[in-house]
Amino acid sequence: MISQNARAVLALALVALSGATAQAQTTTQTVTFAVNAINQISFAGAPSLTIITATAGSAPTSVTDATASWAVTTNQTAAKITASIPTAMPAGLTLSANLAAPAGATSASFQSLGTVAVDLVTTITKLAQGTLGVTYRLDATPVAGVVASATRVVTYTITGGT
Amino acid sequence: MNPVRRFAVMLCTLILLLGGSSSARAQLTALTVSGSPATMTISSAAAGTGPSAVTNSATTYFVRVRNGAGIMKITAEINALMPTGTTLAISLVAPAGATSLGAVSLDQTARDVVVNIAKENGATNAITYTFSATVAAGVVAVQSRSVTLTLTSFP
Repeated sequence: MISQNARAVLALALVALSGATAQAQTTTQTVTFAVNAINQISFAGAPSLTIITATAGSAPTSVTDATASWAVTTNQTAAKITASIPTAMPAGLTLSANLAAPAGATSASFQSLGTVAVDLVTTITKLAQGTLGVTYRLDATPVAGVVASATRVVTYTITGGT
Repeated sequence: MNPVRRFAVMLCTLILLLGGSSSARAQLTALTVSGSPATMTISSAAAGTGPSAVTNSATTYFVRVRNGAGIMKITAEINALMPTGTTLAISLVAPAGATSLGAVSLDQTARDVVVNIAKENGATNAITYTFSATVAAGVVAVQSRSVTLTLTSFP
């Protein structure tokens, strides 16, 4: 028979042992991180424009193509999109582009494309948006005459803000 | 020595051997990590979508929960909130018989990451960190957070 004293000692022992199981152990790691400036755009589609008619007494009828689309991601404030073509358009022909603006940004509507970059969308701020419309327009004057099929590569550039 | 005194001495000896010293307790449980991960930098995105998250699975943890220590769990927390628009998540591969809660977003509250750890004589498993950001986060300068992993009783 275990005496009262022994039972007390046994209880103390159990408390001590159970205390061992409750010991929490900790360890640490240091995680270092950063986010760089991100400015990405993409364009999809290969539009084609052919002027084939006119109203008598008027200049040839302009044509538009809205089959292309574009997307943008920026984590900066007041980024902008510019566009240019590598060589000038034939005399009497004007190629213009109009980009739909993402939320909160401003589109410059149709802008004639040349070898000098022009602003098409400005104040693009911290957004990720896709499937935005691109519309091209081809204008011609009678002096352009008949122009054989030609292509221009339009280069779009996103310039980061701050 | 009377029987009561002899019994008391034996018990005290048992306490010292099994649980009475910190070294004995340390042998029951252990939790260590292999080091800290390299800097995680978000620097790209697919146009039209948010910045691409980055992951790091280069570090590991060692856990031991010997029989007698009870059932335990591992929690994780960070010492300061993450910058607005960013998230740091941790995922630990569970030892045999235990359960990982997968990727757990970290904040200043201890979050369970692995539970039901029992009778584990020592296992080393991978730690994966995932750092993600929204465009609203903007540019975030290099900074650090201390991640504390704690092995404690479950539940």
